[in-house]
Amino acid sequence: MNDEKLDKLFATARGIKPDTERAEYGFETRLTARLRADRKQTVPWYAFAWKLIPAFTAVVVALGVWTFIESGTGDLQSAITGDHDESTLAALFTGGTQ
Amino acid sequence: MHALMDSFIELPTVSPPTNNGRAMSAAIDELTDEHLIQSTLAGDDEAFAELVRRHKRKVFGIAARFARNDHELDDICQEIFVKAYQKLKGFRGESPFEHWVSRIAVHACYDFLRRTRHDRENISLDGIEIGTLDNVSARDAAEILQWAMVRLSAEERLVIALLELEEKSVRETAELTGWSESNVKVRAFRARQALKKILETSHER
Repeated sequence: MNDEKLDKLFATARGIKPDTERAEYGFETRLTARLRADRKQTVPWYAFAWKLIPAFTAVVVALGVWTFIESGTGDLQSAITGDHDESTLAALFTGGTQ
Repeated sequence: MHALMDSFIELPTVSPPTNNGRAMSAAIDELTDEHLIQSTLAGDDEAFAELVRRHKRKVFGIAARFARNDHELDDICQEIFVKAYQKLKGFRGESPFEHWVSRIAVHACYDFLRRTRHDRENISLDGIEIGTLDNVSARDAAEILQWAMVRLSAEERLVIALLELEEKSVRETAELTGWSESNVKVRAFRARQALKKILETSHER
């Protein structure tokens, strides 16, 4: 197919304009009804909960650091592994799972 | 209606006061798009409805190139005008409202094409023979093109619709799509090549 044929096909197709009259009928009424309905819909407070993730993360980190400082061991690694050893031993003696 | 009524004060009365409905309708007709935008921003839904009434033909014309039926057309146009309503505060008035809303329409149509591309490839030609394409009617030509264009990418389809069917210039197409003029030319060239290939292949079959 050459460009001339394609241009001719476009020119012929342009002879038909899409008929939108039926779809346009009462469109503004439907649209304003939708806008009013959208405005009335209240957004629940928890819809924005994901936005609080950075704040929650900061609080958790701050609490962790504070707990570590308060424990007074000065060694984060032993504070974590010490508890882990204890719970492993407890599980061994009681026959439970961790 | 308060904001709209306020702007009536500056306008001449065009009908006798006994015929309030007609007077109001005539007064709305005389309001500029800028007046209607200000009234809409002040919370007047009727003013926005008038803006929609004025510009819906243009928007429907653009969207109808991509929608498969009236239901889809209504959905796309609602999306366009809802976006226009939400972005109205950002309208600076640097270009006419019609151009501004046309840009929103083109972007919404592009998003729509990207979303629905895979649904569209199984459109059939309903018994139309592509043949030599020499003496096809306008309706058949439109259907053949629609059939071939669904096989193009969203960018290619958009550029063909604007340049070849809506007869926009390269510059207008660039403004509507937000692409550079050279980008429009490149995409148009590729789209034409792809379209020719599709039509050739279907002809050989």
